[in-house]
Amino acid sequence: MSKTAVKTSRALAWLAGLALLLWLLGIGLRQVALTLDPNETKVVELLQLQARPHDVLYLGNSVAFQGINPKVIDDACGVTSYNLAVGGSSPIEQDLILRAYLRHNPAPKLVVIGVTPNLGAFGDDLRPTVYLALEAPEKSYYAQFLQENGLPPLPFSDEIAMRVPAYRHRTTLEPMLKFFVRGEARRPSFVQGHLTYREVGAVPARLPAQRAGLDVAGLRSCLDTCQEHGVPALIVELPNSPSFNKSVVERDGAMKLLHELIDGRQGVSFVSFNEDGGPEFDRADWLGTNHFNSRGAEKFSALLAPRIDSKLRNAL
Amino acid sequence: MLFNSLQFLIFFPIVTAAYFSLPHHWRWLLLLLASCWFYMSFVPAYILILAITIVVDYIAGIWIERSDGRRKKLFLILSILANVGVLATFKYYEFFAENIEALLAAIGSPRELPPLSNFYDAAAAGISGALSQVGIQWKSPPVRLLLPIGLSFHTFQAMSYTIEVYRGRQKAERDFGIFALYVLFYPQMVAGPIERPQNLLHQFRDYHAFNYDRLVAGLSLMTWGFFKKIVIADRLAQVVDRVYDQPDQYYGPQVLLALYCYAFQIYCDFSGYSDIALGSAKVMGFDLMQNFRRPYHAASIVDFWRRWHISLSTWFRDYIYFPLGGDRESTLRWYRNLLIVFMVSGLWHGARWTFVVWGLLHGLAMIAFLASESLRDGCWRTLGKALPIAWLRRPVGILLTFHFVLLTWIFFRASSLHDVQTIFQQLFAADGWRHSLRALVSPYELLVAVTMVAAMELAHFVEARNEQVQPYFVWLPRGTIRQWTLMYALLIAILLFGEFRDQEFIYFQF
Repeated sequence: MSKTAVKTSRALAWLAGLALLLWLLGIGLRQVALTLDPNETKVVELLQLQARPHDVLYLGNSVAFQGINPKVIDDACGVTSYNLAVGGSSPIEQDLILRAYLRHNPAPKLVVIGVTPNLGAFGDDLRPTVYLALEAPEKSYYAQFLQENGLPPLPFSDEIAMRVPAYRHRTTLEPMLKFFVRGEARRPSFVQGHLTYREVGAVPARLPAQRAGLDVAGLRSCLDTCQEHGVPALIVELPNSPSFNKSVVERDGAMKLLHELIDGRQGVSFVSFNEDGGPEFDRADWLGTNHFNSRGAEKFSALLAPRIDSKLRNAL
Repeated sequence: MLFNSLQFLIFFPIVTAAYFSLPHHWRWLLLLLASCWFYMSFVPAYILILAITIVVDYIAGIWIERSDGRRKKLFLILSILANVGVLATFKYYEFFAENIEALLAAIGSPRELPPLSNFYDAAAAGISGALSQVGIQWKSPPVRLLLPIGLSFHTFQAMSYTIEVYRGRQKAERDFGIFALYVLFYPQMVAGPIERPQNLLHQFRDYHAFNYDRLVAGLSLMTWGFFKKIVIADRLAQVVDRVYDQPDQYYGPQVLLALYCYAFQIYCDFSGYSDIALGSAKVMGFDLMQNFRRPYHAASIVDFWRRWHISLSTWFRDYIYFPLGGDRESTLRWYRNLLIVFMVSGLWHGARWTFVVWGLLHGLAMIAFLASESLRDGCWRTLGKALPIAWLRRPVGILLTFHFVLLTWIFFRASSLHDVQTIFQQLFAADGWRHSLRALVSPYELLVAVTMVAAMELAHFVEARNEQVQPYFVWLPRGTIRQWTLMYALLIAILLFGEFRDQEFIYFQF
């Protein structure tokens, strides 16, 4: 065999080896993601929902994902509900999840949108699994949303990279490491889309300044979707820990944006559980700075239930 | 376009494939057009500024060679003034204007100097007026006058050409296209290394046959550069940016962590860029100069500057330090020369007092080191007689040098002297050390960052043990299981741990 042929075959073998390794890694990470990353498992579950009628749907990020227990509200209000929230999701991602849900399921009687202005704006990115699972109309909607709001389009490089499973599921490494370090105690469980953790987590007494913010465009998109389907919306500000609230700056600005967004909108109302004088929660209710554990979620959901009940009655 | 972008990953193989496909006498043209395309992907209009300086330096080089005596010097001065003038206008005008205004206000004669955009408007109005005289209506486009990318690098590279021609160490380049390519060569034009004409110019005329080993070495070097940039530098940037953007919000261990992170961020960012530049040039058969040599393994500040940004430090040595007299003068003048070189070096990095102070600190450290040489030697000799600690000299030197450089990086990164003050205050605040690192970075992120830096340092250790100048991945024996495993590990690390948010390279701002 000539030297060129030897070198060419060696290069090809190397590339084939790399491709095989990436493929195996992708498979492995996907399995780990589905086992250990609650957000990944949740996204797969909710995108598979078909013809499942629910009276109430909950949208939001991880604070809502862990903070709203549908079963408590169902028992209190006599409804059926489902928690559509996904950790780390931006409002536009929540809207696209809602749109995808409504494409295959009947519209609910009420949508509850969990907002967390004290955590700041989340941006307009989508989790790769969500983006890839969207159908063409939702993808076009997203592209249009970015354009209308003066945001850069999704880079082509991202579209390609998302299709590589090893890249798409690389965020799994962190929960995998946590699982090995902490063991079974931290494994999550789902009920009606609600993520529960039994542990009590540390809440630092002092935190660096956190700038409040709001993803106005994404939230507006959520409300527009509700309006298009004739579904009333209840925007709920979930509680944060007192030490976190103390560290927040520019909250007034974010709340002003929120009120400007919902003022005058028919069928939309707002309630905050995070203002001064609001409900207090024990140290034992928190998993971390802003997330309830199962005990805190039950308590909060019990406080939320009458608001939902009232909203549903008004809608009737 | 950035090296760490999809556009470059498409651009590079196409240009390289075209390069080896073309006959030799057309290759320079391909590289020139590709380099223009590369540069114009940032701000297209700024290629005109480059074109002007290229024309000036090309003509100056020929006239310098043809002339002698005073005329020779005059053409050199004109060339340098043209380059420095462009640099001063775009990079330093606003800085000097602000400081002059502050000075005038301090002495009771407040006055506002016109912003740089006024000069553009005036020039544009002049051109528009002249064109309208001949019946052409032209309206100047609105332009936000930004610093042309890589300006400091290619002006210095161009100046080294005219100076070397003046000194008779380089023949003037008669081929305009080759000279333009010397200034514009895309792997190194934006952030170095700052090449010398003796090393680079002739390479554009040399025939480079496709060589598989060079291809593998070049790609390995590029991969190593991408690893340092995407996995380490851009990851550490998130911690650094949080602290430096709001220094009054972080304390003690948080600030300290950010300092260590920045030390490795700036090294990995800049050396990563250099590795990608050297690697992409190597693939095509070009050898660029080494720009870094394990700088944090330096045992003294003198050693550090032989290892960090070598192309810039040698440029200052050859074109400012030696002409000032270097160390051939009296001791005081020698120290003065060192201070001048380092302060100018600081200013080269940016139009801010923090950079000047950074340069000054390094200059003072250099002087202190040189002035105390006999004292230090004496101390170690004395201690060495009492205890078997001679072997400690180098490790202690490395630790002290690294931490001195780490502290001076505060001036380099901070936006203002006020922020520098805040950072030192927060670092040494009485109750600051009660604050947890968790408020700044998650344990997972910290673990990944530390692991990757440790992996990089392990590679450096292996290089040092083998007395290699080139990075480990370049001279790793090819075709072995070890090489394949390590390359796979590098690529997978980039895929799994890389930050792909199109973060610019730090030295692009210079």
